Amino acid sequence: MSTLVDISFTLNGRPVKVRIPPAKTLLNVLREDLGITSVKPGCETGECGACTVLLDGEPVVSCLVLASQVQGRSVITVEGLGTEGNPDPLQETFVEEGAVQCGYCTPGFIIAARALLDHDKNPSVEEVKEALSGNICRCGAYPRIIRAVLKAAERYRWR
Amino acid sequence: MALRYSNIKVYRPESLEEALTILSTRKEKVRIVAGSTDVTVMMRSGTIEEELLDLSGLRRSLAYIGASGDGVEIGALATYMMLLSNVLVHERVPLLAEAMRTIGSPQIRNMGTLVGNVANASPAGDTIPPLYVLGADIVLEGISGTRNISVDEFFLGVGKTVRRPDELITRIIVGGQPPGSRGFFEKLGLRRAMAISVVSVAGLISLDHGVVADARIALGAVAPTVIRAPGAEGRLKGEELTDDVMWDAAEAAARDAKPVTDVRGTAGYRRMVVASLVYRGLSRVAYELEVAGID
Repeated sequence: MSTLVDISFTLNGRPVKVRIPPAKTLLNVLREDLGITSVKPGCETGECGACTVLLDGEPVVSCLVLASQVQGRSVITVEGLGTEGNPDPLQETFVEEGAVQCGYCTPGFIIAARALLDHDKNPSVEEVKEALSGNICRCGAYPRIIRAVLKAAERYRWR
Repeated sequence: MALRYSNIKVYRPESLEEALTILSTRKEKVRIVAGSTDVTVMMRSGTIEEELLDLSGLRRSLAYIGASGDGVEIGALATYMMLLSNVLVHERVPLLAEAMRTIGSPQIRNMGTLVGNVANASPAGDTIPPLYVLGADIVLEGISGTRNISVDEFFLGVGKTVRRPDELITRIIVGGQPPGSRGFFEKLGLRRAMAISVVSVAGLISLDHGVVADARIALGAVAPTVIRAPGAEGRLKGEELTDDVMWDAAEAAARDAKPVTDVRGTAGYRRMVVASLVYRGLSRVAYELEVAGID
């Protein structure tokens, strides 16, 4: 009985079009309809940040975004930040600093950190913590995550 | 989850007229969606069964912030982040900015809207106590006309307002902080990020040669709606901000509160927190005055 609608938006720089129920969440559209499984379902109530994506360049939790709201907009996930051969500095430094334990929260942290570094290439520790305050790491890798972000900031400055 | 959302009809109007027409025909059958930070959670928990009216097609006309008299006018789709990066907001209503900085997380502040916070009518809504002390008009539009409702007449109870089902809040006009006044916002949550207020307090204190000429204090999460604290305000007027006066006012605010016991705290605890937060806010004002050397 559901009515499907066509939604068009830009995903990692490429135009996509999906036929879906308009009240489906962006998280589920990305995972189920577009094969983007880096966005993780965690709490699915906007509190853990594991599903963070950039919507028109700003971080949002995709579990709370409705598909109809992304019509005509730009969505970026970690797949759009870098590749294995040419990773984003954040992807490099997360590996170098061992900022990943189980890895479930990692894509969300990298997206949130990227949004910070897009605005500010020389953040303080406090500013990094504030920018990552919507992301939870239950393994408790926060000190390494913060080190990785500060180290990536240095590389952004040199680019 | 899959079944829940697949049965929900979504309207996505591209003009205000279209939105108001949908509201006039669907009325209480439709739920309005601005930032979707609350509606999606309700949808997931199965507490809403209405159709949705997604306003995202109206961003061009409703996602704005402008000057209005000595205050600011805030469009229905202005997000917290837009407001926090707006110069007018910081210059004219810094108290409101202080409150918005404590809401949710960067992700939530990029999505959520001030108008949505008001429309939701939670007594724990963090933008509402500042609106009570600053003074604000809620502008409701329907196909049959527009009306302005003062913020202190807008809320009827938890989740209940005077908005009629065929009306949309298109904007809120907030009064500017008077020159020489000092505002404060204090809240207690269970942690700093992403926590609903157990108690929140907003205050706006106007001083004349060190004497309180006007004091407005509003309390959040301690009654079915945000309330003013007349006992505390009365204790402050005409007085200097001495420690005794500030403690008396804080204790009066605790008596003004009508808290309940729930999962986040008992009524008795909330009363003590009201007193602590009011005292903390007032002593900050007193300290700032001392540092600024204003008498």
